Amino acid sequence: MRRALPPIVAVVAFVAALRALAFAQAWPAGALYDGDAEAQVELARAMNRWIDEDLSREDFDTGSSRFDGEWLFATRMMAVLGYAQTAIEHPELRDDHARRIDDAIDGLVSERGRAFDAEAWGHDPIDDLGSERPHVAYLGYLALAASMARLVNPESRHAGLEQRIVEHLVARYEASPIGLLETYPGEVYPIDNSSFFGALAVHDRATGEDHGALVERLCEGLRTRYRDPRTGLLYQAVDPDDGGPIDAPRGSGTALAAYFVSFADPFLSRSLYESMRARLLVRTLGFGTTREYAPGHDGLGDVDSGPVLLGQGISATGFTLALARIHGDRDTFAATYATASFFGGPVDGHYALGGPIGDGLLFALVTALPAERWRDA
Amino acid sequence: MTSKRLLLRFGACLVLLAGDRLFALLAIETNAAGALLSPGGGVSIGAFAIALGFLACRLGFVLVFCAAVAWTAAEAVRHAVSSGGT
Repeated sequence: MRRALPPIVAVVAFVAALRALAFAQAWPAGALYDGDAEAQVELARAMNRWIDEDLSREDFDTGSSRFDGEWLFATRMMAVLGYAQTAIEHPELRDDHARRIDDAIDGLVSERGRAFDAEAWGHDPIDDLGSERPHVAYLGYLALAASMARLVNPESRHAGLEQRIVEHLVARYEASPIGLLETYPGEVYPIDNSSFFGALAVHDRATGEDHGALVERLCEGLRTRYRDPRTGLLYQAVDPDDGGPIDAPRGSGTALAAYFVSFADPFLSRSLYESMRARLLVRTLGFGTTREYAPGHDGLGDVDSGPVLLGQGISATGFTLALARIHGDRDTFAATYATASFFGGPVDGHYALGGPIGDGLLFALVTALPAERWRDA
Repeated sequence: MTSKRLLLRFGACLVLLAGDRLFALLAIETNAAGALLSPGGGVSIGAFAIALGFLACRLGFVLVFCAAVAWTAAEAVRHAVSSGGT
């Protein structure tokens, strides 16, 4: 018995040391979860570098010119969400962040910023406003950024463009038989559409217009038609003709959509998050991760999910941070932050393994506003 | 001898931590970050090496630190058991 004691103690000590490291990695999560201004401003400052820098597609290395363009776009778009959320949470940041938001949107609407979508459609998305082409890859997300700009600063220089985009997409959704629009020709993704559902609700808050009936109808479509009945997760891709699923229900799409629809329908957002909690969330020795596929489905990583390691999706894990904060799940936020912090390597607000897009994503995700805050926004 | 071993174990942890920090700063400065996130594999070898260096130091630190704690704890118990038995 005495001889068995040291190895037993060694195993217990090893596990305890691992848990202590997870605890240390999760330590900064408390301030972020509580919306500490200093912690949020550190992220904003790091993001300023990427907004001030003249980023281009060449700064990304996805191996695909279109995806490089998407990542360039997503960096600025998520930065706008981060600036807007922190400005709403800390009104003293509003003036500075309103300026930053307009600067970031300048990049989004520049020729370079919209090139990836123009190349895919063969038409420029801004010139196409009022046409039958929806350009959801670009306009859906731009609408969300620009509506946030308007919410933070009604005098935003992009208010006029935001109005035109909303009118264009409202007309297209009114005419859509499946309640979704194409991201690129022949490609329909519920997640991309959800960015506009959130945008429309933010637009109404900013302008006093009322698209409530349309928002409700679109969210109802997500709830009843595009969720896998077994898992409750959203299908990643659907058929443009009949809306039938053509990809598995997945963590990355469900999580990001749940974040975006939290602006429009917090109950749907919570329901999606509960499905994720039941099927995808994993806790290992204090580190939280999120599976990309529910049990019964399997697949490799792609541009949406990032690498999938032992079933755990990098994007899905990051997106979970936003949902945990939105829906008051402090433990999951801390555990997931421990993982993001461990593999991301935060240094002065930047994330060593994230680059511009990682910084932009984490800025938006860890500052996502608790659902109740939107009532006062 | 024991304190020398202890120093060696936790000194190795410090070296790995320093390497971790160095690679992290390098990754940010050279925008090598994102190398491991890219789905298409169109990443330069330099960026990939920096990202891998960072991860290797970080995982190495965890492994060495936890092993050092476990080893030290086991040695302490072994010492206590043998002292109690004599």
